[in-house]
Amino acid sequence: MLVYLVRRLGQSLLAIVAMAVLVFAGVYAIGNPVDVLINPEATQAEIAATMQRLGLDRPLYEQFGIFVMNALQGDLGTSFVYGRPALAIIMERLPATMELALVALFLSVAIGIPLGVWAGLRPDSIAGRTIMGGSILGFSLPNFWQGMLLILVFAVLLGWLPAGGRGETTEFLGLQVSFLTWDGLTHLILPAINLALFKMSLIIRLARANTREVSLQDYVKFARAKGLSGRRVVMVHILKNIMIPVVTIIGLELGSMVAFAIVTETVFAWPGMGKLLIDSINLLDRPVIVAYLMLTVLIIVSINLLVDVIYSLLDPRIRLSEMKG
Amino acid sequence: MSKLLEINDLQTHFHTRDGVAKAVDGVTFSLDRGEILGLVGESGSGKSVTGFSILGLVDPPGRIAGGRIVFDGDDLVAGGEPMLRGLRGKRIAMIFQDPMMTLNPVLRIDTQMVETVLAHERVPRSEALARARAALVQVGISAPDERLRSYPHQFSGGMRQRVAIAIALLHKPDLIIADEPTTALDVTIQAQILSEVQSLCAQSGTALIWITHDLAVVSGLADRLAVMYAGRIIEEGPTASVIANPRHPYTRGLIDSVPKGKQHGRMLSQIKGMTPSLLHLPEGCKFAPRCPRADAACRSEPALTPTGDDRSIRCHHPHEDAERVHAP
Ligand SMILES: Nc1ncnc2c1ncn2[C@@H]1O[C@H](COP(=O)(O)OP(=O)(O)OP(=O)(O)O)[C@@H](O)[C@H]1O
Ligand SMILES: [Mg+2]
Repeated sequence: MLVYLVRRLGQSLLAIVAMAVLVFAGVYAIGNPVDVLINPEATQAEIAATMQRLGLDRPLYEQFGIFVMNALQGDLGTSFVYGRPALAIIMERLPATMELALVALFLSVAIGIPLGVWAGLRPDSIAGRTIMGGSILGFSLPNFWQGMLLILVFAVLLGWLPAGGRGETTEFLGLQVSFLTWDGLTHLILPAINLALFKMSLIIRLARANTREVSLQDYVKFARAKGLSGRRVVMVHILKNIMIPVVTIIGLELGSMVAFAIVTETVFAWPGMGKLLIDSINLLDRPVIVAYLMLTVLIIVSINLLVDVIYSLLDPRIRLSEMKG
Repeated sequence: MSKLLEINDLQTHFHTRDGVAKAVDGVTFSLDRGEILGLVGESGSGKSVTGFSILGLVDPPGRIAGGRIVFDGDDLVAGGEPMLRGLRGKRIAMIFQDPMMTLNPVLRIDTQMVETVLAHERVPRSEALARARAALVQVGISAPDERLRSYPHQFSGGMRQRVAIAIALLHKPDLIIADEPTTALDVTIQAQILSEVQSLCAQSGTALIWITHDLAVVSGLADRLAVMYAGRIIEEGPTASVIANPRHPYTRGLIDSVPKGKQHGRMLSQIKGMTPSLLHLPEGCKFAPRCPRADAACRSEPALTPTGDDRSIRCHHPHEDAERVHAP
């Protein structure tokens, strides 16, 4: 287990280094770094100082070294727009995005798995077919259009829910969250649903396909032949087997949920990292873009690592073979 | 005393896109307490479907379309799911063909055994665990405490089948249906498991339906034989009598195709032709196209007819007792 963890940790570090090289290549090496990294409105003295601090007069490999050293100390540049460290600005927006992504993930899992298992157990029933049809819809609607439709129906036509913003927040474990106040919750529902629908469809299809496959296995028939209740057969014998692929996908998708929250945050004016990124791109605030990219990679890599650990806990076969290897 | 199990004209049909496959089409046999029945037939003859029908475990598109299965006085076909669930694993247990597939790969052995106990009895977990442990010892598994905490993939095929047998024995059932439980194992393990199951059943007075396509395996084990062909029982009777004097041409063909010591160097005879598709069965006797004795009479289906000596045959032209010439 330890060997396995160390090896996975090494792979994760490699992924982060690779991304650092890409970001460096994209921002520092292509084009004139002076244009890219220094506020065009800066004075001559400021330009000279920054160039020296960033070592832009040195050879490329040294510059990369400086970029990495600075990054390791959490220094990914200073925002042109806010005049503060880019990373700090991103971190302020991180809780909003994480909250949105986690609530959306919760929705897609809590609704997706039961629906998928149901459809997998009764693939030919009307309910099973309806669930499948719905998941195809959730799959194919463009995210922004679906978001606008939600706003149109629930905010504009029905007037039940607010169209955008984060609403009232309270402090929870030192972070500002919306889901604990009624106002915050009403603001959270629509964007969370919008972000969840695609993943929910994905989980429904995955859970359904795996349920169908698993329920044909001899061990399910044997479990029934032992006289177990239908409930136990489904909740233990089938569910535990389908959780292995489902957890993998959930993990991979949580990463992409953070990344793809951009569209939802823009449509619903949700003040998260994604919206910040779009604003920063519009304002050419490059240090913030760099910080966003590095942080997102870090998050996705950490989540994948976590998923691998959970995965190995779920599947005894992996645990053993990896322990040996 | 009444029979433990009586199956009468059982019909189990699969409604497929290409038509109705009558996998079981007129199976009739009965079983006394503690009796061992060998259910023999070629692949696809409906042996497994017969076994699953008894437990009510036939999945769509299959369903029991007719007939009666009476177990200890209760009609299982009419009984419905709650009644069947109460019997499964408790009074009727089943062992499957492929031990590599019958245990859930992500659950520990203790979980899979304890849940079987708890499905039928309200006992503390510790007691259920003690029973599981005792059952493992009973089937000859050493270090049972360690084994209980293992996962199936840590076991060999023979060990897994032993665990499955231990699970089947947990409630000391009245009937065990063993669906080719040794086919997937190598020969030495096969023989071990066979004799173990035999002695365990004898000890506890459990009746056994041993499903196999291998006459040699079952002839030393079973009290009675039932031979299946195309979803039907075509010959049934006491093992010794059927083996010594097979009267249905198909049974005779099966027995002649089993190698015997005395016939060393002789060609084994084979039944000519192939097993017919269930969707395109001939009119009349289903075996007629492959039968050396078939004639015009065989265009009508023969009924399973008792012949007086505790045997039944489904044939218009059975071999006579005297016709059987034993090799010197
Ligand atoms: N799920 C199913 N769908 C359609 N037909 C089926 C299904 N299961 C079984 N059958 C039909 O029932 C027939 C008998 O199957 P069964 O498994 O009882 O054969 P068997 O005698 O046990 O053979 P084997 O020795 O290969 O196990 C098959 O040939 C097939 O046509
Ligand atoms: Mg079979």
